Amino acid sequence: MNGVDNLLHLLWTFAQLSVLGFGGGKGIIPQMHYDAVTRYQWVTSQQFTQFYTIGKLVPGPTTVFAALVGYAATPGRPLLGAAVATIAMFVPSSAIMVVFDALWVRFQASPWRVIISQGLAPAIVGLVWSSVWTIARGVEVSAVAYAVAVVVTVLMLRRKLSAPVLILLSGVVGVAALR
Amino acid sequence: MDRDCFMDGLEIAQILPGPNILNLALYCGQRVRGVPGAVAAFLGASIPPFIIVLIAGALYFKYSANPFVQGALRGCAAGALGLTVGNALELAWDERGDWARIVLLAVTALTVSFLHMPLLLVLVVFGGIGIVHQYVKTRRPKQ
Repeated sequence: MNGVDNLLHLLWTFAQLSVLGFGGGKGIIPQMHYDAVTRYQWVTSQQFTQFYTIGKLVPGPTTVFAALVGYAATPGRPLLGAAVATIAMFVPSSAIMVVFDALWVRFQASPWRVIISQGLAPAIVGLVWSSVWTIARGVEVSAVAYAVAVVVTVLMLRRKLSAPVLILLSGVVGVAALR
Repeated sequence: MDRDCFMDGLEIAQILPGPNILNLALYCGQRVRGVPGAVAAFLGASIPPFIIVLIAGALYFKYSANPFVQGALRGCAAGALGLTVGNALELAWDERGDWARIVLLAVTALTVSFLHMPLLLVLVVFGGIGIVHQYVKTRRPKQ
């Protein structure tokens, strides 16, 4: 594929995800997977899950893993691809936030504030459930991997350890048992 | 900035598109120094994670063929799956007590997973139904 075309696809794909990322971007994972894996084949399902994992591991927003998709999508100029994907991921939603802040004073007392945020929640949570399926597709099909996932779920719900620590411990189990 | 102002910011940050933490940083930057403050907050909140993820990515592409690294990545991915399941369970738990919302949630999850409904359509259709439901619920006089 032509390099410039590819960069434009990256820009347009992630800009759309940015604008549609209601609820902190939790709901965009299934669509991002569809675009990056099925539609443009920038990455494999396994890579997508691993990039998402790196996104969860590093400090800051998980969706910064868009940079890694961009990196993989542009083998000739990976840093450019990473930068384009990240700018497209973060700038549009930020612009909305900055513009909206001026309107907020008028919106603050409106009952629509709660109606919209509460009303969107079931769809966003449904998208998060679908993300479970999306991420699971890139996880090794093995009893050990699924056992690790179950244990991490329980520990996370009991708030025993932080997310990065849980991921790193899972990695240690992986080195021992998933080679 | 006082506490109420900060809590307001947190609320808008969660409603609008974009990562909560980035939106909150933008809000604080804008309140303190206007648009230049927002720009500074944007750069401060996005460049460090970008650089860290790039370093992680460079290492990934260099070493991901190594069997030990492969094992670590498979383990980490399983852990990230567990975190996502935990997050999904917590969020669904918040929806308990209203069957309509739970059904909407389940239909959204199944439609997206197995029919690949585009995100825009999901937000318009299922988000729209949720908003109408919430509107009716708010309007209905309390018994």
